Amino acid sequence: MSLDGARFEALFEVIEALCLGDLQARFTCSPDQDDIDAIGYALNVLAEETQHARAELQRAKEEAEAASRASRVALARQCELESLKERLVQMLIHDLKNPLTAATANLEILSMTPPLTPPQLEMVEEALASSSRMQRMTLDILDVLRLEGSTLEVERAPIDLVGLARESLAGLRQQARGANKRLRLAPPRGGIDRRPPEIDARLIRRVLDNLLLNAIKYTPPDTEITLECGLEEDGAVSIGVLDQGAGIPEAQRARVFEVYTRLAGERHARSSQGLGLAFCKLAVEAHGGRIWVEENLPEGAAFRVRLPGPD
Amino acid sequence: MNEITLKTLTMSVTLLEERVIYIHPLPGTTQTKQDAEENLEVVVRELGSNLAVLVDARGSGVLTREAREVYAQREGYMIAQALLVESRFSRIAANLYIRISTPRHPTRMFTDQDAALRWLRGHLR
Repeated sequence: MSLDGARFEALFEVIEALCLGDLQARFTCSPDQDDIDAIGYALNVLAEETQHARAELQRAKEEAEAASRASRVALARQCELESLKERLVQMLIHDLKNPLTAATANLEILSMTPPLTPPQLEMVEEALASSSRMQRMTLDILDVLRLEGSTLEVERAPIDLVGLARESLAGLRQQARGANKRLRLAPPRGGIDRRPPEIDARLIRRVLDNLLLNAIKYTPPDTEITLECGLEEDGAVSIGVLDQGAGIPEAQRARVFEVYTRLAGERHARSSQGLGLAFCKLAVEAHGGRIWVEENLPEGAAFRVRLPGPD
Repeated sequence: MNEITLKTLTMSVTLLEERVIYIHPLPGTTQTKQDAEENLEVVVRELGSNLAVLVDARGSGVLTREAREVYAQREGYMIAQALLVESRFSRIAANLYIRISTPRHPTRMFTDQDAALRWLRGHLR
C-alpha cells in the first residue's frame, strides 16, 4: 500500500467511526498539512463541534428537567401551605361561630326580658344586630372556603321559594327601616308558589339575604328594593333583587362577585366585606346556575340569579 | 520602530508597527485552551490591548475547539484580525474558524500580506 493509500485508509476509518456515532474519532494530521490533512482537519473540527453541541443540548435538557422538578416541588409546597392556611382559617372561623351563636341567643333572650328601659332595649337591639351580622359573616367565610375547596355539599330538597323570600325580607325589614329603605316582594311569576323547586334552602336563603343586604347598604335613603322570584318556561328558577341606587358601571359588573373586591371610585363600594357577593356566586354556581348584575331602568342595579330546573 | 519579538511554547509574536502584531503559530503544534490563554496573557502584558492582529495561518499548527473559542470570544485584546492563508489546508482551517467559531471581532482571510496589513490599519483609525 502506498503512503497516500495508508493515509486515505486512516481517513476513511475516521469517517466510518463518525458515521457510526463515535464522535471521539479524530484524524491525525501530518506536518505536511496537505489535502488529505485538510479533509481530516475539517472532519475533526466538525466532529468536535457536533460533540460540543450535543453536550450543550444534554446540559440544557438536564437543567430544564431540574428546573421543572424544582418548580413542581415548589408548587406542591405552595399548595400544601395554602391548604394549611385555609384549614387554619376555617378552624378559627369555626371556633368563632359557637361563641357568636351563644351571644346572639343570649341577646335575643335579653331583648325579650322585661323590664328594659327604651335606651337599654335600643342598646341590646344594636348589639343583637351586630352579632347577627358577625354570624352571617363567619358563615359566609366558612362557606366560601368550603365552596372554593369543593367540600360543601349542595343539599337539594323541594322548597317553598316564596316563603323563603318572605322570611328573608322579614329578617331584614328592621335593618332596612333603620336605613330608611323599603323592601318589597314582587308578585311571584310562573307558578313558583305552586311548584316547589329543588334547591338548597340554607344556601339560597343566604344568597337572598346577601343580595338584599348589599342593596340596603349601597343605595340612597328613601328608595325601594324589590325582590322577585319566579319560574321560567324551561323550569329554571329566577331570582332578582332590584334597587334604585347609582347602579354599577358595565366594566365593573363582573368584578363585584370576586372575593375581597371593592369597586374603584365608589365611596360606598358594593361589597359585603368582599365576601357576600362572592358567596352568592359560589352558592349559585354550586347549583349549576348563574348570577349577574345588570341595569335596573330607569336607575339602579338588578342582581339576577338563574338556577337550572330539573333535567 | 524596532521590531519586538516574543516567543511562547506555541507561537511567536512580532510587533510590526504601533498596535499591529504578527502572530506565527509554530508548525506541528496543537494549541490547547491553556496555551491560548497563556499566549493572550503574554501579548496583552507585553504589547498592550486593542491590537490589530495578523495571524500567519500558512503551514501553521492547529487549535483545539477550546483554544479557538478563547481566541474568538475573548474581548479586549484585539480590534481586528487578518488570517493569512495559502494552502487548501490553511484556507479550510481559516474558514472553519470564521464560520464556526464566529469571532467577536472583524476577521478576514487574505492571501496577500500587504492587503491584510492595509485592511488592519483601516481598523486602527
